[in-house]
Amino acid sequence: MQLFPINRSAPPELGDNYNTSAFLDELKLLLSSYRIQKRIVYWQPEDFLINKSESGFVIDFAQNRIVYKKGIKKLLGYNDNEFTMQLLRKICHPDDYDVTTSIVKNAILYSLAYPEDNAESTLFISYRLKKKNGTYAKILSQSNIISTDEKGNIASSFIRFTDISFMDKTKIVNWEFKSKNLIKDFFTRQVYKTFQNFFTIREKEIIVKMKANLTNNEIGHKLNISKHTVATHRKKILKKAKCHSSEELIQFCIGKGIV
Amino acid sequence: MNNKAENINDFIEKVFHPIEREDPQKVDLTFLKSIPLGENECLYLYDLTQNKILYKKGFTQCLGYEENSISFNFLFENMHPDDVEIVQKITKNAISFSIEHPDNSIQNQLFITYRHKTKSGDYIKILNQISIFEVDKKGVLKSLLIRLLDISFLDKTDYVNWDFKANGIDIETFKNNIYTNRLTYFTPRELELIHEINKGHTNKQIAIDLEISEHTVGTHRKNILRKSNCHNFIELEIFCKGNGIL
Repeated sequence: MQLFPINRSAPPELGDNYNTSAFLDELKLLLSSYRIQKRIVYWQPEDFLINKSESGFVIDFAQNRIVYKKGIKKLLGYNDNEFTMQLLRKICHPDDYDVTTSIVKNAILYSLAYPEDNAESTLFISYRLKKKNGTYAKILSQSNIISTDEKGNIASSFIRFTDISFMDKTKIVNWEFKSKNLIKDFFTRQVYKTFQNFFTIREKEIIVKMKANLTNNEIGHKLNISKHTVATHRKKILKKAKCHSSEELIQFCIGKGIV
Repeated sequence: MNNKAENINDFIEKVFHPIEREDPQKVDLTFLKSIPLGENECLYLYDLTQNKILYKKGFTQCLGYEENSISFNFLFENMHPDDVEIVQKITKNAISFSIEHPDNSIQNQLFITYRHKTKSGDYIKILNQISIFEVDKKGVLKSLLIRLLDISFLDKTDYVNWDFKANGIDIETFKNNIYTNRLTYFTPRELELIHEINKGHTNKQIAIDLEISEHTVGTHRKNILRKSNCHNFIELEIFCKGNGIL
């Protein structure tokens, strides 16, 4: 059974106006009717854990739940029975959630469109997760598909978690998807698609100039508008992104692929 | 071979007296062979008691080098010259710590990020994860399993970051051993200021926080930059992170 219609010229996509939690519900619905007759297993979760102190877990997409957990308590403070898909959603930093979900969504869509790549694909994402003690940790998650159905559709993934708070103090979600036939630019555009209309074209022009550290006066000159109009735009832009400074805004825009 | 690369080797010679065994102990490599690696990863098993790499894979994909050209020295020689000294210091201190505190040391993990040269001559940022693979009966380490991951996609900084997770470690003492000048290079007052600057505070805010005049803050700032030979605060940040001050 095919989850999404496969079109070889381009990975399948959901509508432009989907929101991410709707996607997850849709995926859940599709996957709940997904009966795996025969499972092809590439790896065991233990294969990935090179040290007793490492953390990782397995998401079984057919059952839509976490079926294997290791070292979660040590890393995040949650007991194994607390650590569920729902919790994972809940503890993701709200500012990181949309981008992270979009990356995961597109990687899953890609894996369904190009199942022949599945054995060798790896998805890296860095994002913030709330620990049991209430503080956030920057986590590097590394996902590999470890089993598929007989047609090569994703059945389960192993995810390794590494706490990289010691080196990554940014608020940006960074990611890298390694897959044999991946057209990176296309994939990147897909990931950030929903964020492209977040600002108007004029606002984006101003953000680009803000990034180059131009003053309101200079921006006004370049765009043939008054510096007061620029100031109004600036205010609106910051408000829209819920940012308190230009620096914060630029970080926000980099993280969402806007600039 | 440059002097810097010899340091860690000398250290290992001194601590482990490695001998090339005629009949080397058999190490079970089945587990290592089955570890799945992405195209931006490589790993090797390094036996300290023989000063020898017992197993390696993924180097051609990840760094571009022929697998048989890879040795422990080779890897240190191809680190970025600005990073190699501190990476050696951290590695040596972590090894010493694990030897002195053998209790449960098998769970110790050392993470270091640094720049490494690829075959094409470019530098990539590596996240190096070192774990202890084998200990002897007394719990003293024998071999290390080292995994290198290309994290250029997420780390664009020029300084070495690290984290040592070990049983019973006091990270401040550990840091003092690595960065011998970290507490004395700047005066306590200057250190306070550096921490304030790092938080992004303005001179005005700092003056209020530290109950001094704004002009005094300005003077301190100037002195701090002059002392560290830095031209701006971005350079200062790199200097401080590189020296364990921040």
